[in-house]
Amino acid sequence: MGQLMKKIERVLSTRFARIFGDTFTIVFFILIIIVPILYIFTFVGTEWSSIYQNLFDHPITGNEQWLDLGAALLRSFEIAGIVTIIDVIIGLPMALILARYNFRGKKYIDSLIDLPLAVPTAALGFSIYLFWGTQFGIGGLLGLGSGIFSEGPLLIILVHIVFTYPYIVRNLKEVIMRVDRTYEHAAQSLGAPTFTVFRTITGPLMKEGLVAGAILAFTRSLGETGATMIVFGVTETATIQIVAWRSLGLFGPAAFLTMILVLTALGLLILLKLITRRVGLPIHRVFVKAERMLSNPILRKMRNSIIALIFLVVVILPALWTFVFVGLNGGAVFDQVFLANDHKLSAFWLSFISSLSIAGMVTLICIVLGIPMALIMVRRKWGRLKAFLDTLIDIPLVIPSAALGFSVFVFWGTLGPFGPNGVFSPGFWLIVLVHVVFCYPYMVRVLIPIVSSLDPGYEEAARTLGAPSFTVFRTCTWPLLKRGVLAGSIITFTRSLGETGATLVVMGLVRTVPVLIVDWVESQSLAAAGFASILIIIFSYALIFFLRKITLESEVVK
Amino acid sequence: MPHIVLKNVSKAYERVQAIDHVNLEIFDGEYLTMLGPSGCGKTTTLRAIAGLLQPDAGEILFDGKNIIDFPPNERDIGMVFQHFEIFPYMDVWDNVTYPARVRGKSERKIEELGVNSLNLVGMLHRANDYPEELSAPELQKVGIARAIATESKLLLLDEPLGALDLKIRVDFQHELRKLVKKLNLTAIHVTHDQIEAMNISDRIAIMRKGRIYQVDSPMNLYYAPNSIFVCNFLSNSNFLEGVVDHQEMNSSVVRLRGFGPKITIPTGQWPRRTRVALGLRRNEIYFGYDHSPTKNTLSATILKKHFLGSKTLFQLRLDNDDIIEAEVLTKEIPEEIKDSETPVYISFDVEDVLAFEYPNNLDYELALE
Repeated sequence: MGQLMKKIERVLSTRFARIFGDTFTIVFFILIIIVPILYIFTFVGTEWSSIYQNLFDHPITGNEQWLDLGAALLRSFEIAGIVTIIDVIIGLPMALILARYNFRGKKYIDSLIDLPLAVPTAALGFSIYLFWGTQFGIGGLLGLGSGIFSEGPLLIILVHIVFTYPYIVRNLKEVIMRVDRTYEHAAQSLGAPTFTVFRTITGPLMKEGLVAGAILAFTRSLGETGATMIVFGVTETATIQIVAWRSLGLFGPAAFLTMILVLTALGLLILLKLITRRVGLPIHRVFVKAERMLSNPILRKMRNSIIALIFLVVVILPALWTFVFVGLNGGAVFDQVFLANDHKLSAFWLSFISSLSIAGMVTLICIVLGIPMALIMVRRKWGRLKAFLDTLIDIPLVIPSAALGFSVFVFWGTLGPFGPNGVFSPGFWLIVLVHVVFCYPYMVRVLIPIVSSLDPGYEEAARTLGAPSFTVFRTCTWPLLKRGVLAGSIITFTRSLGETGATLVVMGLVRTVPVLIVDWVESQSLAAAGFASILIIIFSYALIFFLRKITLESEVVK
Repeated sequence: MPHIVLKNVSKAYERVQAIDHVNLEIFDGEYLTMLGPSGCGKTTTLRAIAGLLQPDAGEILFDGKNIIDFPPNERDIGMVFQHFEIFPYMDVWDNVTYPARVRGKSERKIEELGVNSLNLVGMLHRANDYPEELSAPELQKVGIARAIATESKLLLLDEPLGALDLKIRVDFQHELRKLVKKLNLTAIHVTHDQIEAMNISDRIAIMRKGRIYQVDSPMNLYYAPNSIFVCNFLSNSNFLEGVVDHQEMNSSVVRLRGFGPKITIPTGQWPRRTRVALGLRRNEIYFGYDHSPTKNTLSATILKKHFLGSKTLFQLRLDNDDIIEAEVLTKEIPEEIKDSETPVYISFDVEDVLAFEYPNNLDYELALE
């Protein structure tokens, strides 16, 4: 190591440098991530008279926009509620199977479940739309000239189930695996049949995870835009309404709806943080006969097969249907992508490069600013302030990305506090900024457990051997942190790659792949959309596959 | 009523044979302890009896009926766990009435079982407390009450005192045994603590490497171990190698290896020239010369002396360079015994010498694992 490097490291190790680093990290977090979200309240406040007029007292439309807004919001909540309930019903048994049973092919099911998590929702939504909603899917197989479901609420629900399902299953599986099995053994030895054990022992031990998973699925469904745009028909949800109003230049109503969604999300977050622990499950009474019957091994086997079947027909088959579609319609794909005179291929490459460079830039920023944040969250002893930061970090996770996008657009743009010229106009950099907002929590959340699992003993040893603190970080902490950063990067990258709602709000003339897919579906270029979907699905899934590999390897290392 | 028989029960985990053709009979009303070093298969055996794991082979009979395919909840057992496993989100009352509730008993019966069981362990006044408010011994009392509330006559105890402090354990042992006898239960207790096993059991099954070595009363096990392992596990012993020199009426004389001293042993079962291992408990050796024909006396040299409080541990070298250890009451050490290189005489009863056929590998027989 050169003398200069040593000097630099010594400077970076000083108390001053540490305080500067902490301050910079917090200021960045507050300014880039939190303030733009909260600015929407100020905006609605200052623009209230025009918003009021638009919504309730418009000379032409009267209060029609307000009715639209209310209806869209209500619909979003209904859909998210139904989706969450179905998710829990079909997700809980699957989580149990994955956590408790060992069978051949479990590994494959386990990685298949991640598929909808990895793939951009627009590509996923398109695939599901093909399967249920067009003559190229199940309708065609049944000899119909159309799909069996038309665009609308039912199709939205089917799509949302697919991409929220992994959240429920992943969460519950983790929780179930953490449940201390000796409690279950004790209950069994005390005479409880398996179903009773599950309801009275496992249930209460995992309920926090269940509620957390359900709220996560709910917020995912509430906030999704890309896939919903493909299948909504005339059923406008809240996020679609924001995108629509934004493109029509109706900033007032869009801001108002954004504010409501932000408030709802904050409410849900508080619910998650405060109330989950108090949710009671009825465990005192035991329904002996019914539960003994439900504990029957034959019934259990039946349930497992049904769950596997649902997983196959409702989740996996529709999610992968694009491959079948493109396989069967190769000619059309070739025509639309390579022969048609609107240069779809070059449009695709352009959007692909945009997507990659945006995701790459976002990941880089999240790494640089996420690591110090994770270190702060684990190492600094700031008490209350840290608990507050901890809640703040999760905010972008629960807010619909379209609402996030709109907030950020307002804050940095011409409508914001920086005057009529704004700082960023819609385009590449604004997309990056928005993506950083909703990707940052993922990076930090992945890093926190890894940082806290690091043994401070090594670092203490290095300190006693004479290394200044930054050198300790570089030589002792970083090598152990590397895999975590890689894992966080891949999650951040795929998040950014797959996002649609926020991007639609701030993209200007830039197109990302999910937006392109939505565009092409709207213009009925299904074959071309299939082509784009397949490429992005393969690309994202390869990334997640790689992620699983490195995280599994790091488990082995432990 | 419960009479438990294990026939050739085996269970393997991946590469390890956890238990290997275990045969064991537990009589009605008996307090039986399975004792052995960790990894000997005692817990595996207990869990097989409870139905918490499925053996690869063998039969387990409850009153003559093979229950190997029954899940734990249909076996009619009460079980107490090392780490208590008191359900954390239920109060003491709900924990103790759990077995009655999952069996669909009437409200009156539930009440009665709860009150009676908690009374038996003296925990009724803590009925409304949550587990986090209880100390470890209190938690285990609740664990025992909960197992009793199953109304089962069979009590399975998996290291029930393992998580308690040493001082509390002894009291707990007495209480536990008293309770089992009072309620006329059959108890199967697992522990790795020899003193606890001796103190609490009617019979002890000594296990090692997945096999049962010996099943007998504590006294018989201590005074008539059937193997070097059992002898060494129950009492700290010296093992000396020798060859039978000649036989007498009810005894034989063994010459220790390397033309060492002669020792009289209380059995005439082996012919001349048999290679034997003699077991000599540390605490049955004392200082002094003794001419009596019921005693053995050897000359030795003190190598080291460790003061242990009421006792003192000596390391001694015999004339043939074998090293033995002796644990002597500190008060009874003669004045003239100095620290090291002091020549002394040591004596022990002929009756106290245990003789075994010399094994292929003595270290293997002595090893705990």
